[in-house]
Amino acid sequence: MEPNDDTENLLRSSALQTASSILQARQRAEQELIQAKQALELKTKELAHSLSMMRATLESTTDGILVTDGDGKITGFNEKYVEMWRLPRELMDAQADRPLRKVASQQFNDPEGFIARIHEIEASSLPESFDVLEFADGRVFERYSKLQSVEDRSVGRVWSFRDITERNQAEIIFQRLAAIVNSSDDAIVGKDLNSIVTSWNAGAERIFGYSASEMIGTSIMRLIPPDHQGEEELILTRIRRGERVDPIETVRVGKDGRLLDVSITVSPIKDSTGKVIGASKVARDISERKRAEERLRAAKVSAERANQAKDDFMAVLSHELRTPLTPALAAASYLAEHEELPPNLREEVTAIRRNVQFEARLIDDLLDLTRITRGKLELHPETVDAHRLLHNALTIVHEDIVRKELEVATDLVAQDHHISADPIRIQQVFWNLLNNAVKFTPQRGKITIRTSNDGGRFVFEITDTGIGIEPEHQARIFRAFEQGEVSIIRQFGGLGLGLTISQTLLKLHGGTISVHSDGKNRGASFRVTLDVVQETTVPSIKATNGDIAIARNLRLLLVDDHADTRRILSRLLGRCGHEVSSADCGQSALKLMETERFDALISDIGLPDSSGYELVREAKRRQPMQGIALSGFGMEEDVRRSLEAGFDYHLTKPVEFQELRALLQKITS
Amino acid sequence: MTIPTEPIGSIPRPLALIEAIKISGSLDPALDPLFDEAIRDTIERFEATGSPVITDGEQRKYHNFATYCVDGLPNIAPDGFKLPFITHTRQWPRLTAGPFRYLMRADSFIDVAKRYARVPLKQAVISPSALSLMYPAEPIPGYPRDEFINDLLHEHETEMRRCLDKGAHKVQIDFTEGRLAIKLDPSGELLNSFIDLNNLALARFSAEDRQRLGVHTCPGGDRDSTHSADVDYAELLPSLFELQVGNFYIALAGEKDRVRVLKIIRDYMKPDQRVFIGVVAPIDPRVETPEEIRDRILEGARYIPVEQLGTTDDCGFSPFSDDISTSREKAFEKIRARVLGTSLATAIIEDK
Repeated sequence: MEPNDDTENLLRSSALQTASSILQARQRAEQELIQAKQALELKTKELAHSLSMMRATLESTTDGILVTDGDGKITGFNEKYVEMWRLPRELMDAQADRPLRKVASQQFNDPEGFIARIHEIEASSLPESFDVLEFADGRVFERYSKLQSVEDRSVGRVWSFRDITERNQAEIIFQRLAAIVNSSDDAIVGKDLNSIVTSWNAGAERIFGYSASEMIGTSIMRLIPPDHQGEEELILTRIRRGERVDPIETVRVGKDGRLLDVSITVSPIKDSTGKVIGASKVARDISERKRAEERLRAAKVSAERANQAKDDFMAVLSHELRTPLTPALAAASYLAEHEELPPNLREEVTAIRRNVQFEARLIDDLLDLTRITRGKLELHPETVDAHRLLHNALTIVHEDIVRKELEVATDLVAQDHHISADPIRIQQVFWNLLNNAVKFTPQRGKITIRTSNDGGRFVFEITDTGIGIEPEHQARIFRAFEQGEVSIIRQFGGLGLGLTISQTLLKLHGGTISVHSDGKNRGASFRVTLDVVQETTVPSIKATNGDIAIARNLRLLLVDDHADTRRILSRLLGRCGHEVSSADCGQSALKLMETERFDALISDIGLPDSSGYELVREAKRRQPMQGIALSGFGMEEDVRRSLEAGFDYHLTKPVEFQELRALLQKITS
Repeated sequence: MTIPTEPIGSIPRPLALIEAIKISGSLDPALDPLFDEAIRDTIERFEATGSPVITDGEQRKYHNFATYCVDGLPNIAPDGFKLPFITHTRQWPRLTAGPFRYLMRADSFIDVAKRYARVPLKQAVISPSALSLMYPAEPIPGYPRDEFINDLLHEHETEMRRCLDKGAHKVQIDFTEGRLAIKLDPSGELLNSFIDLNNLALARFSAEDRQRLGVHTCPGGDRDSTHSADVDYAELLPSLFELQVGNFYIALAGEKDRVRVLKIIRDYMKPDQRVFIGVVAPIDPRVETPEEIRDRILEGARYIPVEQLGTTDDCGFSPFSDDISTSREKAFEKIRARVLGTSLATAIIEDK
């Protein structure tokens, strides 16, 4: 059947009109396509720009970047990645993931573990992963990976690697430092320049009682007592200048309100540019130390009191020991030179005088040792002639030398023999050495005394033919109370203090003393050196036997509560032509002065009703007279006090009568 | 290299189904069991032919391959233009009002067929150009032709995308009106507008999707008759290959000068296109032998690169649901012959 024309025309008409619409639709579509194409080209251009920017960004980052697709194959990387992983260029150009992983894995102690971890991350489909890679050579990388998705479909993973080796080491150091800070017993506190606490260690919590959460973010001022608040600004001023505040001892207040003694050191905290951004404060609780210091101070005071008590005791002891000796020595010394005394008695009296002198010497040595050990030995240096001091000392021991029939050879050839010294003390040294030589040298032995100069020093050497010193004992003889063997102590007596005192005195004068002996019974030799000085006018030593002037009769007031002393001295002084009135106490003495006039007052210091100091002051107020203290108190302090009180002279008991007589003769002159 | 072979689509419906539809119409839910049984049986017998790709025989398409999507719409009238076959005419529905919407989409057929199929399913859909003929010559008041075209493209796109999403092995666009367009407008303007329209729809798909899309052209095949067999392929094929699809199903078995057509195909097909040549003629009552088919394939292989060659039927065996000119049995025999013939040709080509 053929289609009729109408039908075909209708179909054609309809179809062609539709075709027209289709054409328009196509044109629209083409226009849209052109626009879409243009948009696409623009997007492509933008994309290319973005890609180049991204590439530049990837290359400029300090991280190594690797991009893999869903199968783990390499699709991109930056140069930093190649550099960090030390990978061959050809390996990267091949973009073969397996060889790459194998080469990379060789840098680890556990290559299989490294590769297994990559597989684990890739298989997990985790959106992100983070772990730390520790290389066999010590490098440490952070590894971060992020799953890349397009329209919810995984298309691969971006891996970034950051070399944290230095940071890791810094962290280790930081952790160690932090551990040190945390374990420190001291409070270590950080604060900013507004005094706001920024860090607070366990030590701070222990000392101040506040926890870190209580303190961080708050002001440090809460630790500072009101009367110390000004310290903080002073500290901050120095910190702002970049200065360190060296340890200062101050007071802080704890959480419980207790005041704490602390030692504080503050150092500035600077940022990487050197700008001061805060301060680090180290505070040490010194409360216990302060308490210990207080205890020590109290103990020192107590000890000083005890020492003072000891001094007082020693003074009293000295006085009490010396006082009974005074009349004995005075009488014995007077009798010993009395022409009418029968020879057999003279020998006895001489023995009495020698032993009393020896007893006095023992007391002096004990007192000197006390002064030395307490550092209270006072020196009054002046330029003196060492030869004269030596001569004086020889004079003192002359009687013993004669008695023992010793041969003394002197060879005083030192051209420079003036020294700067306390004459009494250096004479004491010479006397000690002479006395020892005399004491330890047998009857009719020999003592050789020699002086010389050696390198600007004065040298005194004394050699005897005495008992000698065993080599093993030579080092000990300068120690207190040591004389060598026990048998020597028993045989020769004495306390063994002389050499100790001599050595100390010489040290105080810048001098030396040494000993040499070839052994027992082979004699001993002592050598003393002292710096020499230019000769000047040498003042005379007070009250020595050598300074005797023309005498005249004096009216003397003798005050002593010791009856024997009073009686003996009155008698002896009377025999010398002096007119003596005596009293047993201060009041009696003053009463005598109401009716009599005196040239001199000879008074003990310790009187029953007052002191010699008060008496001399009052006596001199009433009458012009000389004052002579005659006291058992023989320390420097005692002499000084006597002179300050008004005495003109101070004689220490026991006193040889000749010494007192010589002094009176001096007064009359 | 295996030469792919695919059917076009329709298989004659069971007579019982045809009779039941005559009584209560295709949309009667009571007929669902009959439809399902027809589909199941079709698929079973299709798979029995050894065909590597099958269809559901378009058992559910009513009333034909083209209007299945609009049958039953309230805004159509039966008095559209008449499609002139040699022996008869088929009248097209006419759109009476907007908007234009599909009542049924071919993806719904896939839902049922997948219950029974064990081999890949292919789904045929009607072209937008064919449906464009529904808009009458006189404009519809309040519904301009342009708006209709937009709606048509949207509906077509939706149908094809759903078929792809539901796993259709191929989605084939029936474009039998191509040759008819030349007949109606020898200037080729109408054909080009059809090509444009279809390409507008195809442009909405990705290149990957388009490799699963195809176009079928034939001179019509209804009651063993054609509507445009007299149109020279030389008028059609150059434009046809401009369609943006990867597969072309071209009736060839019924052509008088196949070699001439093959040469045209060779000259105009593009490198990314595969041409499935028709090796079985549904309108031919004789069942082709496999050897005969093998030879047609080998003939085609002389002009078409083997890697771009496929085989198919010239047309569906029953594009109109009431067409009983070919029995179901014969249709499957022909299909079996195509499958066997393709295998024979493949073997020979592989030997070479």
